Amino acid sequence: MTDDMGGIESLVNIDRLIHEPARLMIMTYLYVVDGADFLFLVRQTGLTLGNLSSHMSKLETAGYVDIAKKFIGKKPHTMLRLTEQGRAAFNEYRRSMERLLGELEIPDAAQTDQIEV
Amino acid sequence: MTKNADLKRLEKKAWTSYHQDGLVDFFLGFLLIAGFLGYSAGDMGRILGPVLQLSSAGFLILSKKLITVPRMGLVEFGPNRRARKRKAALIATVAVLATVALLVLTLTGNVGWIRDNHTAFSILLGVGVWLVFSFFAFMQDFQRLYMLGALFAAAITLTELLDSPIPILVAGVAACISGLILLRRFLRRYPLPTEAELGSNG
Repeated sequence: MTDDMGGIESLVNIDRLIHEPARLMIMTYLYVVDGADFLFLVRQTGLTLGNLSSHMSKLETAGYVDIAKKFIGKKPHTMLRLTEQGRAAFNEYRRSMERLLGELEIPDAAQTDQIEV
Repeated sequence: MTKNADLKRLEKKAWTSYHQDGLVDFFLGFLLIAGFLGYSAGDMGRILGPVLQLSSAGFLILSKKLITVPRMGLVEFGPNRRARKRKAALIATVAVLATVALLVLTLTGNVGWIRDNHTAFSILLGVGVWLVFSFFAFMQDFQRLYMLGALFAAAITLTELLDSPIPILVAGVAACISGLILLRRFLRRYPLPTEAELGSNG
């Protein structure tokens, strides 16, 4: 997802699937580890299992997350990993946001006061 | 969350959350108490101490599996973390081998040089122990190990200097109490999820 437009207009090209806060949090956690199960993500993100499952199926449908079921002993266990596509999409998202936020100039205090009045 | 430093901090947070259970404190405390029992139990203690210490390592592995993982979930960390873990394991192996060598020297009576330089040896032993703990703490991003290492080192040095196992017992009990407090907090914070909560997501 590259954007030829500069400035705030480039926001329309942002990956909305990743941009949603809960999914961004999930993607970020999965980006920094090799893989994790549902419970680990629930503990780290504070999301409920239902909420997490729903976001996870959206990410899986987009090809960003691989959901692998395996057995540990006799118990079924689900491990979640970012796919190559998911890692690339996350990197692109980071770059886009960095570019976008880097271009936004923060007004000084006097200007902020004027805006608020 | 646009900087690499933030991503590293997040990875570190995920990693350190596994050390909030107090089990390592409890394990180290038990190691010291086993050392005290071994020291105090005469000839039988020469076998009892190492047997208890070895079984405490088994207890740590088992309790991580039975207490921590079912509450925290399972995570596989990246290659950097695995490499750091391997280095820490290597240092731990060297430290264990050095301890065994020292034990063999003691049992075979080749300790004249230790007796001649007893004070210096006791202090050096403590410093060495603390350095091993510090290396481990650094490689594992486990800040509490610096403190536990200091406790361990002080106990060993004082036991050598005073020729009494009481410092080992005191330090062992202190580490166990710290472990129990942390474990209690961990169990309250992370209750065991029910089968219904987990559903098919296990």
